[in-house]
Amino acid sequence: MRRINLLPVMDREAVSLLVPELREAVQADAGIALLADGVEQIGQAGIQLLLSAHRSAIAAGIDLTIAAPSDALKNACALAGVAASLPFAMADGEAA
Amino acid sequence: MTNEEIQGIFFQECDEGLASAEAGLMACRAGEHDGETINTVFRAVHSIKGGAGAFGFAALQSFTHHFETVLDLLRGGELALEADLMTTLLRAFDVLSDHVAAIRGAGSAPDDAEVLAMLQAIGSGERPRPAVQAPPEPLAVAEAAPGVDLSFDLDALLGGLEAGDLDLGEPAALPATSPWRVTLRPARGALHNGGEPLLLLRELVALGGEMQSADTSQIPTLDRFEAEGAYLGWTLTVPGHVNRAAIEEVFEFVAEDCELRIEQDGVEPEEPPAPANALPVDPPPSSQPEAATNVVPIKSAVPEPVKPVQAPVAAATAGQTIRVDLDKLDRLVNLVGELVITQAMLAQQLQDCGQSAIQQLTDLDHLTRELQDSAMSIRAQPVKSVFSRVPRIVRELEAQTGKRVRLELEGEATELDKTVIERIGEPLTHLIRNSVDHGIESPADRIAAGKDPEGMVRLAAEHRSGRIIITVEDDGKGIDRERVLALAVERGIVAQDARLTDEEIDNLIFAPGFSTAKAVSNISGRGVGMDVVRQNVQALGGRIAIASTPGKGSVFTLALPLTLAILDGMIVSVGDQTYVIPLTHIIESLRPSHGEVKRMGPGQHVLDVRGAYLPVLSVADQLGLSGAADDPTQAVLIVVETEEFGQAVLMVDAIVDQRQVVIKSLETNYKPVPGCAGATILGDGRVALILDVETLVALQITADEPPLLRRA
Repeated sequence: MRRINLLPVMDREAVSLLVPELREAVQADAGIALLADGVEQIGQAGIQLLLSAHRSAIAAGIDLTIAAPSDALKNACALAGVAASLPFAMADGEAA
Repeated sequence: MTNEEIQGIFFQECDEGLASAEAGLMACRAGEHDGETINTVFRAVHSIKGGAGAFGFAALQSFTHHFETVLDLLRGGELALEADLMTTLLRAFDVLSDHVAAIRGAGSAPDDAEVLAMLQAIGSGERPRPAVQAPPEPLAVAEAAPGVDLSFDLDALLGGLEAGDLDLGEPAALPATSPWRVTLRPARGALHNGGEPLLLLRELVALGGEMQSADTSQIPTLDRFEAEGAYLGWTLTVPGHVNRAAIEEVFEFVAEDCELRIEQDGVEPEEPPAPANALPVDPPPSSQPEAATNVVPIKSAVPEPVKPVQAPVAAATAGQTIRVDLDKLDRLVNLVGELVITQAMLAQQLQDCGQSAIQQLTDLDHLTRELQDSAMSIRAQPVKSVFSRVPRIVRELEAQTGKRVRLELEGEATELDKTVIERIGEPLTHLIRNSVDHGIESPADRIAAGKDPEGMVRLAAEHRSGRIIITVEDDGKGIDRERVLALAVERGIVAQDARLTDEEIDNLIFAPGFSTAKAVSNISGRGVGMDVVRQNVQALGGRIAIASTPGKGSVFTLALPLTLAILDGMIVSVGDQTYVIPLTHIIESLRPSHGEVKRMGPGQHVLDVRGAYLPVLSVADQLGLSGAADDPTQAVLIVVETEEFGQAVLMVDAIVDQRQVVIKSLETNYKPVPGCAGATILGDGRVALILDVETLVALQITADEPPLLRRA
């Protein structure tokens, strides 16, 4: 399982930095865990990256989870109407 | 266009909105309003709210939300425009102005709690008003997006929103209309400019919007993913009671970056042909099978629900203006100035060659002057931008002093150079404060004096003889000359036995540290205001005068140059040097007879000008020149007027010419030179210094004694 930390500010710049790493992770044909507890701000670019990664993982037949999503991340995804489309893995005792 | 540039446009539109709102509120206050006036105010506030939301200015957005709620009730006839409501609206406007100033970095966010509470109280119906349909419960964000986890704290979105940002307030009287269906898809390059479409969603949610669906079908896999691409689209519903314009306002600043559809059940399309780039709309929900589609591009010609009072004029103006970076404008003006100088040099050289009668040279001269006038006019702005601050100042002064003041503004369209506009604000503020604080009497005193209990302050501007004349007039008690003179003597400003004219006594109020306030107030009684006024006006190349009539009021008159880039000057020679004396200082010039000049001591003379003896000051001596005339009867004497020292006489060798010259800053191009206000380039290519008459006279006259003491 490849673990990748999402950045605190998931703006376009952060997304640009993460895309190559995620591509490599998908091609490595191993599971991916995106650690999302430190995400403080995220906009459309960041949400799209998560959706794209999820879609790529499905296409590649590998597992991808977004672990311990922060409130900021969950709020943004809810606002964008895509929370149900993403593979959130909540912390213990936390409701999805 | 960058996000900063778009934000800059928003700030400018805020200014325009505030000006429009204030004009409307002033009309309301004067009882000269109609329904359209209130609509205009509403739209201005609403527009600011829309932009505030788009750019994430949460405090401003929240305040405008409650402000517009009250205005909406007012325009809907559910509130009567009574005096106390008028006061609240004016206070709300002032707070709104402070909010706008705060987001522009001019101060911190205002404490709006009190006014906000008043607006909320009115909006929630605590004030008596016709019974209305019970408002629905505020739309909880948790209900906004079915199908998603709703336990999230949306207020924390993007880490930049404050608690309560999504508070919808207490919606008033909501008619039962079909909800709006809003479909939006940011353009593929929408993120390039730093745009954040999620903020649009937040705005729609703040209007009561509910997420219906998110279109993720265009999300690519990572191998084709671009960080700056926009791949998502959304469909939301917004309550039908929300004004369509309010929804469109959300997208006001992203018109080019977003495809949008706004439609409502049961409403016939206003523009049947759909735009080519419009999104296909999903079939409406089963509960809305007959939904009529009303597809419009952003900011299309959809009829406004409310027609602003001056909409036709504003629309016409908007289509004929562009915003230009000030640096570019200054560069243009500077280049035109260089062209004027070059043209003058060319004319001089051709004249030296006996070719001065060439018609094309005359044409070039005319064209150059016209070009210069046109370039300068581009920098000109109406004084309205300065005058618009005054109503608030007067309102605050009324509240502080208990006086009643009717403000009259005139000539707001008079244009003045932008730099002068920017620097005249402070002097005008001082004058207005002075008029209200010292001039206008209390209502009781006015009644006792047989006057209207409401005083009058009139601020006017007009174009006269190549200068701008701004007057601040009041119908107050006028200057108490006896008291002014007594204070001046007490403070050593004039001699005990000085015999001053009424005009000279009036001018004592401009003396440094002079104040007639019985108690120092925080309004205008620090004794520095009027001195600062005079200094600031002089620094602009202007002059200030006062005329006062006891019991009837005072008039302050400011004469300002139209521009700081050029001036009309008299070209004079002193020794082998050439100088420019600004015409604004010159009263007359003459070659005196022996009997008109009196010798007062070594190198000191006075000139008898119709019975008044004025000191003769040698420019050559002051500037350290040799070879100049030292006998006044062999020189040319120029009588000049100064603010601080009254009239004086400058002695030069000869008058060479009188012309308009382009001012070049010594501070910018060289360094400050005492006695010189700048420089210019003459037609023969030589640099000529422009004399700073005020400083020159001040340097020559010893400052051992106060000026008026010397004149007594």
